[in-house]
Amino acid sequence: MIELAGVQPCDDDRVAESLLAGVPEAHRLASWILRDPIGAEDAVQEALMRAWKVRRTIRFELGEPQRWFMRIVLNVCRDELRRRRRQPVVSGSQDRAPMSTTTAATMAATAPTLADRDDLDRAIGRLKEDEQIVLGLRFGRDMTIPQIATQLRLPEGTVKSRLHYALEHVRAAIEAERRAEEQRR
Amino acid sequence: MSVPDLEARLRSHYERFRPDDSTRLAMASRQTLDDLSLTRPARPFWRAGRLVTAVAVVAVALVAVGLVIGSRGVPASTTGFAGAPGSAASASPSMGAASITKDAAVHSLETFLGRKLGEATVDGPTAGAAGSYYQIMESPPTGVVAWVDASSGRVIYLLGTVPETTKVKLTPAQAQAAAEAFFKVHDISIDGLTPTVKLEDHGCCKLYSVEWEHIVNGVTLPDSRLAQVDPATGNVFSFSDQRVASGPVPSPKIARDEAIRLATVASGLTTPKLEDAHLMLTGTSSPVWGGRLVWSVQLSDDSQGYVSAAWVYVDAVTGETVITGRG
Repeated sequence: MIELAGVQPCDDDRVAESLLAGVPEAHRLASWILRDPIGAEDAVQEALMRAWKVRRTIRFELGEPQRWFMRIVLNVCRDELRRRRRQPVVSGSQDRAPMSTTTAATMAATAPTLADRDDLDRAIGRLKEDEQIVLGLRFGRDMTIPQIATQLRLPEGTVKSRLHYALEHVRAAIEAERRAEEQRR
Repeated sequence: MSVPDLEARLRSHYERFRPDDSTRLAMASRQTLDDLSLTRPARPFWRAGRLVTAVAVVAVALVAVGLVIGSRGVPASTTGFAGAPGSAASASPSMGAASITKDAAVHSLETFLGRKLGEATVDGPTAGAAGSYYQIMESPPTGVVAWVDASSGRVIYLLGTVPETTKVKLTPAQAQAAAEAFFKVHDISIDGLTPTVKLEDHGCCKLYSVEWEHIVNGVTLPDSRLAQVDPATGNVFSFSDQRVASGPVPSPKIARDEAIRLATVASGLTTPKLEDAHLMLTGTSSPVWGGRLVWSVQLSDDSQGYVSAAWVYVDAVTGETVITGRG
């Protein structure tokens, strides 16, 4: 049963209002994690759907409906990042028609990054999902390590280590691109 | 790059994605919950929005691909294939010349689709290495993106709506048969070409990708057909028809292993893994490495905690290398 603070079980209207109140924050969170405003809007919609579906079976933490909703948003974002990582990247074979190098589905899925591909964004996009989330919360949402740990329900040490590895991987990727660029010249 | 530098750059980077308050999203969210609580079919409002978004995304992708093609001279035309041994295609003397109007291009696409187009924009003709083409983009909800050869009026590329299905009801052989039937109906020859069938999993959806390539003495020529097939229904929703001019096939002097070694060095990857290496002939009109016999080598590297990839051409005669793509 729902134990949303101040909300009676089965009071769908009040549950809906609580979820809607969380939409702006959910949108900000998803935008920083996905680095894609349109994808973020989609993620919020998906999170609303998931939240609504389980509203009668999940136990809200008393007084923390927003945090519960944000966790669903994070899960949706994680799924989306995983889906993106599974997509093949654009190949550069020069004598192939577009469909041969970039299938229709891949084109649709990678278009936001094609439009805005700098080395940093590419490097972040290649990180594991959990590392991308930690980076988004730290440098986008500007959360502290303890805040991230609370939001993700992780020990602070785990958050620190994920952040460390994420930064290392980003730096390594940028360095690799720089070396490759030098080699091309 | 020091850690403080990187952190400052990351903050600046993420700032670009700070969203404005979205009235549209708030309205859509309320609508979504209203729909759900009334147990009506889910997300009618948002679904329409997603269609618009999807088409816009495809448009951006196509423009991006077009830019890449423009900068690299990658052709996509049915008119320019000439001189390749064993070719089933015929050469066109008017290669590159636009001989049909925009209206004629639209008519050609409508004939191909068997229906009138909705609201659409027509751009071009855009020059490619083997000819020029019109790009037609139809507005949603039925929106397709197509390229029509500006000389012959043939539809050479069609990007339809990717079916949102993960159900696979067709076998690879059935998918190939569906693609063959599609090409036959549209009088697109696949004679003498070698087919391969792949089931692609894109998370949201699965699809069969059926590609025919023209291979002569182990060398892949720039002459291919590709159809993407709905694995549940057998419907072909996208295709490409590539016939690019290419010259005679020279004999390779660089062996495959040596080509892979050279590509590995050129790639700069830390722990490269070979994904593919095959001999191919580039189109004669390509501004970069036109008409050359190359080893096309694809390498990947996941040693850094993420997957990097590099596509490298190795000249099969001289051993020269060039990076053609990274990901």
